[in-house]
Amino acid sequence: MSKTKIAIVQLTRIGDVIQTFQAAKQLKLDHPGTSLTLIARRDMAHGLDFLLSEVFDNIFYLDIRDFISHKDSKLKDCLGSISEYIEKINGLELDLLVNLSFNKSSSYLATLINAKNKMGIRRNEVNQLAIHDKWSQYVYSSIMNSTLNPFNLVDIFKYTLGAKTYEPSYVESPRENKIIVHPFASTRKKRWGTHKWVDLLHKALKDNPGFDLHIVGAKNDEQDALKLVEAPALQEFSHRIHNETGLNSIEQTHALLSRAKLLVCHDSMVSHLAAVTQTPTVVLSLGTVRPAETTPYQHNVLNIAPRRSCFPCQAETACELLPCHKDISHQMAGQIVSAILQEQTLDRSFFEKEVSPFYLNSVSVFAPHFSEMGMELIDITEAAQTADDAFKAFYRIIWSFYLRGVDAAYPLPNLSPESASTLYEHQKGCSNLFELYGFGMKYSKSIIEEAKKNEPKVSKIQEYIAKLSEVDQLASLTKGTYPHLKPIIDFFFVNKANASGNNIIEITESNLLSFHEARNLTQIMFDLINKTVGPSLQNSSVKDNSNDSKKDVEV
Amino acid sequence: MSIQEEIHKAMKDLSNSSKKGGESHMLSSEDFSLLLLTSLIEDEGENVKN
Repeated sequence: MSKTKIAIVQLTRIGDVIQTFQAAKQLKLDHPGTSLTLIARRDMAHGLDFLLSEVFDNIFYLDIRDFISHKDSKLKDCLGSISEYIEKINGLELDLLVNLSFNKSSSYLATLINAKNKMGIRRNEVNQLAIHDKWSQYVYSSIMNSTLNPFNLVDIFKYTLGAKTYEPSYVESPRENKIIVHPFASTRKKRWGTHKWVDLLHKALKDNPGFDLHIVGAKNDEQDALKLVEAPALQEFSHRIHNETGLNSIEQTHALLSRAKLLVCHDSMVSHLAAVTQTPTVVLSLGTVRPAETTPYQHNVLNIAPRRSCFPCQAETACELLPCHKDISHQMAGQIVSAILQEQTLDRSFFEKEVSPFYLNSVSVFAPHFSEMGMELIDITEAAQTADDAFKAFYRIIWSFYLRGVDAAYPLPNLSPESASTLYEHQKGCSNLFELYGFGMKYSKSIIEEAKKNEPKVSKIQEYIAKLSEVDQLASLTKGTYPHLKPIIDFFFVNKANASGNNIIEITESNLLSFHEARNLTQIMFDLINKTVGPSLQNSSVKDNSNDSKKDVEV
Repeated sequence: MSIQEEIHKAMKDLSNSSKKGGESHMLSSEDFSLLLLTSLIEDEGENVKN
C-alpha cells in the first residue's frame, strides 16, 4: 500500500513554523506511514532544518530570489521559474494539501499546487477566496478578527491535520544552572523596555547566586542587548552575564535551551523553541499577544499576562503609554523565577503567602493543563474570571462540540460581579441572534420551495435573497452591541459564503444547514450564560424570550 | 522594459480582462503565477533587486 502524501504550506514566521513542526510531529507519530512535505519561506524555515528534517520527508523552500534572480530578469523567465517550482511539488502527486497560513501568497500557492484534496485558504477559478473546511473557516473568522479564540495554535494545527492525540510527551533531561533570557519581541508593544528587564534580571541574579544568565537574540537585537548588559545596576553581576545576542544560530540556541533550567522571555520564536526542548519557561505576555493562542505548547510553562480590558489589543491600535507593561511587576516576575529555580510548588497558597496582592491584582498567571480538549490555560492565582475568560471557556465547549464532536464537561467559571453583568447582557444578544437565524432558516426554505416549483418566480426568489441579506446585516449589527457573540456571527458568515453546491437549490440547502447550526450554537451559548449567571439574575430560555425579542428584530 | 514595468503592465492587463469578463472571468495558471509573484514581492519587496 502506498504512503499517504500530505503537504503543508506554512508561509508565516519562524514561531509558526515551529508550531507547525510540533503538530506535524504528532501527526507522524499517529500515522508513521504518512509522507509529509513542508512548503515554507526559506528565511523563516531554513534555520530550523535540523528540526524539520526529523518530521518532514521533503522541504520546499520559497524564496523570491529564486524567481527573480538578477536585475535583468524577464517576467517570462520569472513565471517559468515559478512554474518549474510548482511542477516539482506536483511531481509528488499529493493526496492532501493543507495551507496553515492565512495570507495572500499562500492562497495563490495553494491554488497552483495540485492535490486530490485541499484544506485551508485558496482561490477559486475567478480569484475569489475559497475556504471549504470548517477548521480553516474557524481560523479565518475567529483568529484573524477576534481575541476570543480559546485554542492553542498547535492544537488548531493538529485538529486541522487530523492528528489524534493531544498531549506532548515529556522527557526529563539533565540541565545546568543556566537561565536563558530573550528580552526581545517583534514589536514594541510586545516587549518590556530595557529598564524593566534590568530590574528583573538584577533580582533574578541577586536571589539565585548559583546561576549564570545567557542573553540570546538575533543580529538586529544587538544594540538593545548592549543597553541591557551595560546597565550600571547589572555591573556587579557582569561575570555571570553572557551576552550571546547575534552570535548563535537557531540550532545553537536550541542546544543552549536543552541544557538550561529556565527561559524567561516574551512571546517569540525562542519561546516556541523552548517548547521543543521542554525547557521550563516564563513568558511575559504584553500588547497584542493572546496567551490562549500562543503559549508555548509544553507542560513546563507559566504565562504571566495583564488583567486589563484593553489586553490583548489589536496591532493597529495606537498606544503610547503601554499601560499593560506596568501591570506585570518585575518583583512578582522575579519571585516566580526564583520559585521555579528553587523547585517550589506554584499554586494558590504560594501566591497567597509569597506574593503581594498589590502585584497580583493586575495579572493572571496561566499554567497549561492538557486534556481531551487540548491545551487549556488555568489561572493558578485562582482570581475571579473576566467576561473574556468566561466567553473563551464557553467557546471552547461550543467549538469543541461543533468542530470536533467532543462533548466536554467543564466547570462553570467563577465570575466577578462586573463579568456576570456583561454575560447577563449578552443573553439578550443570544435571543436576538437566535431569532435572526430562525428567519434565515425560514427564507432559505422559501427559496428552496420556490426554486423546486415547475415554474419558479425569479422575483420571489430575489425577494427572499434580499431578506437573507437583511439577516446578515442585522447579525452584523448585533456584533456591535454584543461583541462577545462576534465569533459565532463571523464563523457562520464565512461558512455560508463558502456554501457547497452547484445550483441555487444546493447552495441554499447548505445555507439552511448553516443557519440551523448557527441557531443551535446560539442556543447553547444562551444556556451556558444562563447556567453561569444563574437563577439570581435570570432564569429563562431563548425560546421563552423569543416573543420579547420580536419587538427588537424585524426582518 | 524592467521587470517591475513588465509586472505592472501584466497586472494591469489582468485587471482589465477581469473587469471585461466580470465574475465569469476564469484565471489561468499563468495568471495565478503572476499573482503569486506580485504577492511575494509585496511580502519581501526589500529583497527584490531592481
